Amino acid sequence: MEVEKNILEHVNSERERFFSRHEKAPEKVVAQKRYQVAERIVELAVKREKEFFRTFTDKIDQVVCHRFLGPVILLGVIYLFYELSIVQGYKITAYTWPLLAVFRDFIASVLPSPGFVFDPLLRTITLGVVDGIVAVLNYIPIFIILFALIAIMEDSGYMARVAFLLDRVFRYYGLHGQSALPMILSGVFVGGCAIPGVMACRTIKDERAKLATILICPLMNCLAKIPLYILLVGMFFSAYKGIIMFFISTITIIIALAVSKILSLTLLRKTETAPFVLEMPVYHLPTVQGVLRRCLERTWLFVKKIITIVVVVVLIVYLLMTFPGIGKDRRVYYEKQTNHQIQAFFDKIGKDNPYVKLLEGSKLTEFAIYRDDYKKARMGAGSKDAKKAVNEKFSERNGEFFKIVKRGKYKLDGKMVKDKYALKVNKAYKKLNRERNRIKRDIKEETIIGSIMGRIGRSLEPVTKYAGFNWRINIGLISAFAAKENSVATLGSIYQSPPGEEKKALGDRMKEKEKDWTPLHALAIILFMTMYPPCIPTLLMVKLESGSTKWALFATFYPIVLGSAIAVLVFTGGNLLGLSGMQAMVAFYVFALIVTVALGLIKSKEVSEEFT
Amino acid sequence: MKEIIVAVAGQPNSGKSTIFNMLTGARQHVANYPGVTVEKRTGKYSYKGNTVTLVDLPGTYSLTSYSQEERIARDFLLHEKPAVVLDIVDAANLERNLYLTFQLGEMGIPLVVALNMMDVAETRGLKIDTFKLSELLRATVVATVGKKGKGGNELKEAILNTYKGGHFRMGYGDACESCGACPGISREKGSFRVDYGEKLEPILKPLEKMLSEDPKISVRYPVRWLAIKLIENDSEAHRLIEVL
Repeated sequence: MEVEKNILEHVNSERERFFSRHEKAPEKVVAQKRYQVAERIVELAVKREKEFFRTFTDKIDQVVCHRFLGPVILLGVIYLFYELSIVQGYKITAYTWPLLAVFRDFIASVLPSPGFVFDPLLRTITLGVVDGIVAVLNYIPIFIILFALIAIMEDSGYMARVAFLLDRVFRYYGLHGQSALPMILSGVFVGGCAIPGVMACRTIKDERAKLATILICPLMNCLAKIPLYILLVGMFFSAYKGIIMFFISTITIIIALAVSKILSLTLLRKTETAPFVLEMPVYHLPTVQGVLRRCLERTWLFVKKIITIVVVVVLIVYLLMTFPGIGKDRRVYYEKQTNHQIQAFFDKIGKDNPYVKLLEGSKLTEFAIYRDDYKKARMGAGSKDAKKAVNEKFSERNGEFFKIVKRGKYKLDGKMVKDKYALKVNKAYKKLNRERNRIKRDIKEETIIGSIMGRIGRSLEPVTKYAGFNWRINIGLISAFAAKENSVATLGSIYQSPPGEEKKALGDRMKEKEKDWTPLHALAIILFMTMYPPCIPTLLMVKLESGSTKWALFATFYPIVLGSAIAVLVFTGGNLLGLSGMQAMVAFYVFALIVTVALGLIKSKEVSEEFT
Repeated sequence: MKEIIVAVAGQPNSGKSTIFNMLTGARQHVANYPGVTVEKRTGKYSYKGNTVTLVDLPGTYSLTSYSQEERIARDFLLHEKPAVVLDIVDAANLERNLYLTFQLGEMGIPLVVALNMMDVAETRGLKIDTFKLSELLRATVVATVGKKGKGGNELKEAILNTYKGGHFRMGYGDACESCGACPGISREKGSFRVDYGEKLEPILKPLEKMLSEDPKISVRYPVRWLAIKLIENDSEAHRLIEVL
């Protein structure tokens, strides 16, 4: 120990002496000497046969990095990125989705079969998890395109120019030029995905900017946030659709920049920043092999890691939204209701109907499954031939059931017959099925409301009322936690249509039930949604890319706090000032803009650079 | 046969991954460095009955402890002690790339320098004397064009030769010229050193001596490197001594 201490003391005193004698830090001299020696070696070993200008690259850069043209070209490239990966990628998912559906159906067929109204627990839970995985796998075509495009941008050398162009703005907010791409991918233009966005953060070398970017990516507008926007905008702002969408997409960037600045001034203050070196490499033509390799590698890494963790997390969320489940007496109540409907069904078709025997007892459930399967198969069959094949398959599976689903019209000994008994059963069952679905929905709704998540939603109402959210909205928003697509689906089941009015749109149903709502309510919900915490796959990505659970937890909670604060500010503040929805929107926009610009003017300490 | 571990270092845009792919082909494995999110790519190839494992270090301009990636690259060299370091150098930007080469050399691990993108350098009218460079750096210098797959076998030969303690220089298309071709220079006479001049050398030399006399330090770390780092006030280097 003594020796080690001596060495360090010796070093310190030598450094001090050096400093006082030469008025320079030794490390500066070290760097200087290295450059001198490098220069000398190049002089000795390299002969310059002709003067070289980086003509080709320089010519491109004159345009691409031009003060005015540069940003225009960048916008074009960003648009292309968005168009190719998000828009075209989604079109591809239309082709890959059936494959995933086959996988899901296979799992479903292996599991215990569904009941008439109550499904076996093993089935619901497993399918819940499978749906979660399938939902993530569905994004893979988009990822492959994204990663290929990123690889092309990186290999060609354009990425460095993007960083160069945007760094001028971003550096005022603790971000880096390279933060641009993750933000674009996450959905600056309304409609992205934070998962590849957060993943793309790994190209950022500066640790502080990287963390800041990871944390603000989820604030962008991912595709899954859109349905709720559309629903609410359609309900309350139908005359100003364009303006509202512009507001939504720009307010998120404004807030994200402010958040990033605040984070880098506070929590990330101590995080290291790398000395900023931006090299403009010569443009290369990317090789197909290199691009493919990188893109497939990244995709595979993503699939491997996400899948393993997603299973666990989806399971937990699913359980939180299911348990404790409905009570025993409620179960009995629903069973009674079901039996009542079944009885009505049998009364209707009459005792002398030959099909009665075929549908008695457990056979009714069998028929219910048969009919559901048939409807689904018919829906999936596009062409005439496919429809014929479906008919043949189901006629083989159960000839008698087939007669019913065909409304009594079928071939018998080569002749078309009209079976009025089968038609009667078909009609009566249609009604029964409607009741069955209603009961199923009721059970589902009651389960959600009574579940741990649902209880949280209700217990939050005293607080959330300041943001204008009632417990129904709370549950809808909470259910979005697993995946934001859920918000509209859950609202759909909460604001379900009364029997006979199924065709009414969700927006109209909500308006009917929430008569006292104003555009201010909608604005508060929209703003909360823009700041909504990342979905679970994104959180896992945040954990992977930031390397710590701590940041993933932070990424979950700060948007909740921020979103609530903004929603309360807009709703309560707007009410107090007597503002209309549009007025409140403009007022908030101006306020956010001023705050962000002001924050940008605060100087943050920069680390000294080694390269001088 | 013993497995030869080779670390692949280089500055960003030096064509490191192209060379890596050229040498290993599809035999690659991607993971993360422990505890961090930086990609760790490893690959294998067989050459003359030897299995060589390449470990791709993060592309860095320098080996300080400023950024995570620089620390990872440095820690790997320091603690995993690869048998050879393959330094990928952009021939068209030789001067700037040498900055890293020097620091790699100071870490005391035998160096093979791949002078990559030679074709680009040539079209720019740069004529690089690999023989001379090899002499000056006291390390094997191999000219390569990673994109066109040129220089792969020569690199493999150079790596094996360096591992065995030999020294030669080669360019693509050249025949192998073994050690005798570079008169008077061999690694036994000491690897390349940057002369830090009259201001610093009088401080570095006694410090090196102090460090080499410490039984624990001298077996663990290259003393020249450590002396420089200590004088540079590198926080990680200070910690290396503190934790002893």
